[in-house]
Amino acid sequence: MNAGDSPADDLSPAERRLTQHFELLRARPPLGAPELVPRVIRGVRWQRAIRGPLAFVGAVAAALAEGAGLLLKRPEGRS
Amino acid sequence: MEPDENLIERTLQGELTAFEQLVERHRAIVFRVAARIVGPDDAEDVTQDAFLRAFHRLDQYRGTATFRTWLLQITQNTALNALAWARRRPTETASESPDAADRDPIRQPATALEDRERQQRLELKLRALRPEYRSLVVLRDLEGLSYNEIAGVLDMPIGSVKGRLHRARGELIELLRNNTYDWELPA
Repeated sequence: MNAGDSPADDLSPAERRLTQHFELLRARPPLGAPELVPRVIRGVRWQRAIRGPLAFVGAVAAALAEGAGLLLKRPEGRS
Repeated sequence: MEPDENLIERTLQGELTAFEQLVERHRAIVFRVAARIVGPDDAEDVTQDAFLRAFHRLDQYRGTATFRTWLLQITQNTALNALAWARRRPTETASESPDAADRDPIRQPATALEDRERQQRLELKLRALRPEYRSLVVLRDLEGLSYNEIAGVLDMPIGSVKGRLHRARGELIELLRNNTYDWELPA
């Protein structure tokens, strides 16, 4: 626990026993595979590479949709 | 050791090696929190997803909390989203399977085997807690974060953190008491 927090947290006897049981979990923490870091970096590289083209395609699609909307919209006053 | 803030700045300037250092520095706690919320099978995917999200939102990091707090907030949200998705597919039950303690085929002394069995049973019960409560117990009781940091991760007042943590522990105690295994939890 961190400094600044009340030491015993006013724990009930059952809560105190529970935190003792938690020692079992703290003693054997789940460990990530070492290849996790390169995997994350590969993901970042890949996503960064496609981000620009995707943004461009999105902007073009939005512009086309807006243009089509303007063309299809009837000018007011015309029947 | 170069401060996180410098590494963030360098990452924002396009240096991927700086982000790699951030990942290396924080991957252990991110993985542990993810694994304890979603379980070991999905923990790597959640960890990777959390770091990718962090990378893309790095320009939104304001430095009002530590980078670790900010990253754990993303991790927690990513893990809860993963659980929400997982609810759509058949899930493993949190009940204790008879062979739950027999996954390690290596012969071990009796006490080590018993500890291993208790650990696995406790992990299953922890995963039976509702996800919001599970996060609290993981952050406080397993990772030892301060109430202040948990309040930052979960974006709630410290008083709410304490109240919910009390209820979370109470729920877990009830789950353990309703178990055939004797956890020796006094009233």
